[in-house]
Amino acid sequence: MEPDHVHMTYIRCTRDALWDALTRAGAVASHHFAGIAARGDLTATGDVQTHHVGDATVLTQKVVEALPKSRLAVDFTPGWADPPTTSRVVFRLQAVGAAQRLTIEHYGDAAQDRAEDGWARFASNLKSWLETGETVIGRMDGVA
Amino acid sequence: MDSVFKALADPSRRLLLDALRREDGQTLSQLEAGLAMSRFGVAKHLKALEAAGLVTRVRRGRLIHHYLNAVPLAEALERWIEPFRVAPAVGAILDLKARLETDMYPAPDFVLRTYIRCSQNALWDALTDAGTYDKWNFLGQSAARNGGLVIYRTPDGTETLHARDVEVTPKTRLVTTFEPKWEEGAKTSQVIYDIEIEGEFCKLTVTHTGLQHHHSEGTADGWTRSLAGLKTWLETGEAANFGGDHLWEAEASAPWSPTTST
Repeated sequence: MEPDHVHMTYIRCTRDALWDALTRAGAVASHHFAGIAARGDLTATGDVQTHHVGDATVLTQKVVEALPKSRLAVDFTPGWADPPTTSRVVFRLQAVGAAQRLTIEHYGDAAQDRAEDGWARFASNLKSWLETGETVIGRMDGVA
Repeated sequence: MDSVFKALADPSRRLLLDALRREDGQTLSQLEAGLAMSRFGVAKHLKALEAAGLVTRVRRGRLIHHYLNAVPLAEALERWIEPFRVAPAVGAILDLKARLETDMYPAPDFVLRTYIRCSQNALWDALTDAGTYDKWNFLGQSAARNGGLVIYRTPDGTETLHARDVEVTPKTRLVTTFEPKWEEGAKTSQVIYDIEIEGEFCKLTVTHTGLQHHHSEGTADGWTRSLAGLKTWLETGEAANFGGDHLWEAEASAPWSPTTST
């Protein structure tokens, strides 16, 4: 099956730092471009992480497969679709010299254009946070 | 010939042929997006159309593109209808056959978007000041500008690429040629850099167009590495070449290796 979106980037950080940034709720809330609050760590198969903006749950992710520090596959269910649609996202981590290559593959995504831009934002913010400690994109509630 | 008519007897398969007639060369995902049919249904019907010779699959890198092959149908028409048709119409279909058989399918554009926390001036300077390209170019190549022409060289001095300005809208849009010098007979393509502002940040969209080969054959990898380097350099002030010496040898783990089960 071919992914609908693939986004790849290189980040100057340790493998541990990248894995932590992708899985730990506290880290995700620090760098996620949409300024979400996050609950639940994505460590083992079956784990669920939810993203919130105010009272609304905007995303639910459930781990399908976790190969620590190498590959994380999740069921991805945005909160904005009615009826809810679940697609699959796979994060792959590979060391390349002193950097990490992160590949994000999104399968079975119905909301084509929106998700594509979302991944570019997500990856950009993640990279900036890991490399500089600062986030890139203003939060959705308008506070930069 | 039976398989052609059997294939055409199904309305779903006729819808797929219509979709390819509107836009040829679509992938499975594109076809699925444009039709009210499940992915499994599209795949199943495509298989029947391929078996009948009405659709041709071409693999370009990781994706498979599907092309309409009107020849079997034309042959059927020729048999019964030709006496009543104007000959040039059939000639056009035979030209189509010749076109399909040559390796001249247009390769899709490569598009990469990134968000960089820097000023518009800083990003524009980084993209146009050839003297700084070695700070972020994925292979650590250096570059020198001579008016509208930029020449890239590897550390040992070998010329690898020429990029000529085609369109310059300061701070917003830069279009250059992409003339590879590292291989004989390489065709010229074009690169478009678009800059938009989002608050304190720049949205940079790079489009590499006019490619002869699918971008998964190395082009995408180079851009991903160079733009990651550009972002790191602009945000941290440190040079970042996400490529380096190991690329001169074959990479042990190719970045675009096929995905396994999902």
